[in-house]
Amino acid sequence: MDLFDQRAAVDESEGQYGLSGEMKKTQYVLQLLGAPWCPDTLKCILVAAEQGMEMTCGLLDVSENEQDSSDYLAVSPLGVAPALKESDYTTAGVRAITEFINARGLGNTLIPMNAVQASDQDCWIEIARTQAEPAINTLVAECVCSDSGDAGKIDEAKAALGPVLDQVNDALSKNDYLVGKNFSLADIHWEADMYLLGLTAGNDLIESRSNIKNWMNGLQNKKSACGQDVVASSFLPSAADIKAKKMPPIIKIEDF
Amino acid sequence: MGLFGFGGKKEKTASAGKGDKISFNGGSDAVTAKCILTAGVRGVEMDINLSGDGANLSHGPVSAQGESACVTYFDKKGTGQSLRPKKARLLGDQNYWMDVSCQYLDRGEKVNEVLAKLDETLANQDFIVGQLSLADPVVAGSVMALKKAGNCPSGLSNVDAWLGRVEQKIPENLRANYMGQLG
Repeated sequence: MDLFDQRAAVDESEGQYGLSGEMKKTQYVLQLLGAPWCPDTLKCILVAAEQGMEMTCGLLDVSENEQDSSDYLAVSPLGVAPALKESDYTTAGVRAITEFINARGLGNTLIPMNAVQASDQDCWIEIARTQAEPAINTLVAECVCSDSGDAGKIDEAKAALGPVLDQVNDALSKNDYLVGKNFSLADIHWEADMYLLGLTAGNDLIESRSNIKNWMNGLQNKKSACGQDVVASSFLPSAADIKAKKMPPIIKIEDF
Repeated sequence: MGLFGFGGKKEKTASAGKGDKISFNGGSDAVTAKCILTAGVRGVEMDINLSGDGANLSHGPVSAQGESACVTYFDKKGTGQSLRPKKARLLGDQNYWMDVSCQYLDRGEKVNEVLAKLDETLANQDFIVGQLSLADPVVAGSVMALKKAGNCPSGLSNVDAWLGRVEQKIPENLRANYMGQLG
């Protein structure tokens, strides 16, 4: 039994989505190992919900360096996290998982076909990962995971985020979503980041930027990309869950 | 039909004209090597300036900044079929190696482990996911940078043979004029 089956076990009882014959045989239930405070893990959860893919989730406690444990290296040999399993296939890393689920999923692709939009999408994803997430990770560590945050670190992280969020706010003044009229993987990346930021003392950075705030409000009411009666953000862990290191046990799709 | 996503609404975006040539600016680093290798493999013609910092391109009214944006743009603008695999598992494998290249190789972390794994992967196939994909020029850019810095372990015969296969996919003028400067 590998780490996926230990921590994100699939309930194989009759009627389980994807296992009882309603769906195509290739659509197996997904199993995810990640951490609830990790932006990359939340992106995987959001894509699964958007694309109508049922997924069981288990904790990989990277705060305890579990990504270097022998059990984890057995499923992700280079220690890349989060990791995903679909039947006999395993992959790891946010780019691999989100695009794998997007390709497997039931909805329209979340990746633009148009060269300019596809390039813009990847640019926004890179900005999120390289410029926003280091500061957001600090804020989550200090404000959500810790009982007494370091005020100096919090102020420094907020100051670093301001100019980046101004760019996002500006982009959202022109379009419904980050790369135009259609929801894309760029929105997934920033949705996860802004969700985590909203749980911290950096929430005022969102409140003071009306376009980001309106975009977030829209996402909290948006039906999933595959048209099922699911709001993807409703699966994200609460601040209490994050502090308790609790992953959402399952992304359950009942409206299929 | 899904309510959102790119099977739905179409919209007009800025686009380059037929006479517009791509102009690429980069430094002498792994990121630039990845971009030039991708453009070369996809047969994209462009003017290259290596005196800059980071990676960015302009193409008529279009501009793109950063490794991922440039690599994607070159792939989309290339001739023939995109290098992105259509099958989900191959796409996952491609992206896994692209993430590994950024997360470890470009930062000089776990270099021996990653390259040993890559060598093992390439023992029975010509390219990283089997067929030629974006993972090949991207990871090759990282490996070339490590080699130039003298940080690439020796004895990886499958990696060396693969690097040769990837370099053979790019036009001679790119190999002759730019590849020696990168990394």
